Amino acid sequence: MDRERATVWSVVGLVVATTLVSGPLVGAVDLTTEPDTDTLGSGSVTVGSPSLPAEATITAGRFGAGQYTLRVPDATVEITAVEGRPILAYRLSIPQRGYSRSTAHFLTARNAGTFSLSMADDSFDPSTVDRSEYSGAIEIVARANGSERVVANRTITVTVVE
Amino acid sequence: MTGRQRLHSAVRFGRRALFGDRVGVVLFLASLCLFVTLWRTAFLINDSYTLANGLYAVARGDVMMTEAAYGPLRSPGATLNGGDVYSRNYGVLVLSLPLVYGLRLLDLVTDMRVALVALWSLLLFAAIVAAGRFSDRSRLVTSVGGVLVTVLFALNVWLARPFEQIPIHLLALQLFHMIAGAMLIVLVYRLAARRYDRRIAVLTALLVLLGTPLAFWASVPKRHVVTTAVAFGVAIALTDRRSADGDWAFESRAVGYLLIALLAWIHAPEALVMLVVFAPVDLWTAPDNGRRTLGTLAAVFAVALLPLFVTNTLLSGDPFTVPRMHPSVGELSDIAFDRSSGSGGSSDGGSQLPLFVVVALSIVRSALNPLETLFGLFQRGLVVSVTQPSDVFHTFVRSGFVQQVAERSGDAPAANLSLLESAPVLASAAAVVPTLRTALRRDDRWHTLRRSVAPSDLFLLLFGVSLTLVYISNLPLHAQVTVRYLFPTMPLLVYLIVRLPPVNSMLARHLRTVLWSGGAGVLIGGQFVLVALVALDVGRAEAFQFHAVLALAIAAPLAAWSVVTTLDDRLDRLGAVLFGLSTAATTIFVCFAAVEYYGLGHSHALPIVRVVAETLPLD
Repeated sequence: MDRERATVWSVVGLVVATTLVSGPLVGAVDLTTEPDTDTLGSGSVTVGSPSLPAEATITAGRFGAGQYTLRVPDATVEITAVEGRPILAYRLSIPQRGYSRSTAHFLTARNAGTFSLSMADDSFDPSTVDRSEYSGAIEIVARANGSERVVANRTITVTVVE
Repeated sequence: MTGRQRLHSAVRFGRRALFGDRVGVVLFLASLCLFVTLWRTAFLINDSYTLANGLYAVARGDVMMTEAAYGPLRSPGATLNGGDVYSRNYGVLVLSLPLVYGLRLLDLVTDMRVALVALWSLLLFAAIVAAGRFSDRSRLVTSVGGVLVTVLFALNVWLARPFEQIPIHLLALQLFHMIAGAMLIVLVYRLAARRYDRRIAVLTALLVLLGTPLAFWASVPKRHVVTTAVAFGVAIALTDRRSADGDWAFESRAVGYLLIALLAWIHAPEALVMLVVFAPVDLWTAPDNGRRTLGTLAAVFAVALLPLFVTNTLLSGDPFTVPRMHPSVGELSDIAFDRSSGSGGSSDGGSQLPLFVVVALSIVRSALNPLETLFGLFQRGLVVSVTQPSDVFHTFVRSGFVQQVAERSGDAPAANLSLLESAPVLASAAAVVPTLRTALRRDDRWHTLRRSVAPSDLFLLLFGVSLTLVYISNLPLHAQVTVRYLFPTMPLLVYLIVRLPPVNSMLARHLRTVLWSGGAGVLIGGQFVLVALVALDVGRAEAFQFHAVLALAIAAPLAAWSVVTTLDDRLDRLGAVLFGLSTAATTIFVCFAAVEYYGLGHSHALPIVRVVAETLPLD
């Protein structure tokens, strides 16, 4: 019984002590600092050889979901240099639907090399999907220090899959 | 008695009063631990802003909201009186105050993220040690548990990221509701333990914990879980006094009324529904309805309503106008009562009448007005159930795609499961057919039926039906996830299903099979579901419907088994497997929903869970 009690109190003691030691009152150690302190959207990025998909899909919902899901394949770029924490935005616009969306990717120096940009799925009400094909435009935009630069763009065909 | 002994006996009394026994303590700790695991420290539903801002105001000693500490001040559910904006559910706000103070204290001496990790680790360790006391090798359990918890604690701290801003008032509200959720599990266990042995009682509690979406809603500051917990507390009050031969008979009865009065402070309309059901059942089955007893009960009820009256008076100057009677901000999806005319009693009564008559009239009128509205809702519910069967079907059986719901939800992906899809274990309610068939075949059928339906069963059944009738005319609605308005009916139904003799005897004989199939369903089935969802590259609405179809695929054979269960005993093992699997289906859905679908910007309280959410390619 005594050994069991010792186990219990040592675990509890360890947890409580760690919590207190890392707290602001003792402040011996900070356990939750994020390594990056640069502000987002600052610095610079050098990007080469972009490859953008030519087709995206709007697929009818399976399992009785009803809603259509928009899926855009990933784009890839070759990142040669990153400084600070710049943003690469992957954008799609479909003027025929009056629709645009973009997914932002926050870069750090670790992202140098081949980098793939994904775009989050979106869903549409079935009553709004009235064509079998839409044409849209996609682009990759580098954003840093308050300015925007289009790295790559192309037109894309959005096919409706029933 | 020495001071130490006195302390010990006080602790023991507190434990008995709250948790029943040591099993209750383990269930409480384990449930709370599960809720914290799935906890996201962010706003899931807009009207939580109303509560958080309300708590912020109350913590500063103000009932009116003047400062928007979180999100917008005029968020859904906020009520307007003149130009002033008020919060709602004031009972919850006041009861959460101690947690606000506790968290502030914690914030002074700890890093909040590490503190939450420590809280979770200690809960887990306490649950393991307390559960280990029931095994012959408690020392081994404690040691292994100690190592496990230390490793998990270290891993979590290593992965921890600081809060950008600590939403103390939201955390306090969420903690309060999680504690209420854990108490709900304890109360289910205690109610079941009044009738069955501990194993069945624990299983019933586990079916509620894992077979209904409780773990999803526990950390959301909404009334649903609190109402359910109160319903079970009241059911226990209805059980105790019949077994006690007069001892504590009056007290437990008083506890029932007390709980309902306190619920009124939190959500008056649902408390009224509960009272309308509880009072007749109580009066009908009470051993003593003497004038003195009833008078004292009425006094207890009135006193317990005082906090509500005080709040109402502070809000509008009228003790009988609850916040939900004020005009509300935004579109209204909750039930709302028409503005009562009860307060006008003194003006049209004229000066001829003595004051006490005027006051009495105004009380009667303000009591009748909500009752009238309530019965209007009942009636509308009945009419809608008959005239719009497709709506009822969408709510209870198959959600699918509902145009009117999708339109109101705007651009958000449709994410609404039906009652059966949320908790496929409820399909076993079909066992009521063989139960009734057996009962009605007997000569003394009415006597048997009356004797085997306990007052608590009757109360839970009627409360579930009434609550459904109140809400059914407005359903289906958007942003429900799992028909949350009807959430209280799910735990009630699970308990009532366990009360059915065919189900009960099957569970008693095949308890292990249920546990094994449930465990395997979660651990192995969960992985299959994950692989399927990733491979099929599902959108959000599709993911929900995938879970829905899966749940129905298990619910259908379970319902079939429930109907034919009495025909052949050999089928029982199959029923046990289906029970386990249907519970697992809900558990899997709840975990995916909390971790992935509603990660709310990866705001998971536990760093490990956040990392899992970031790793899975599913959002």
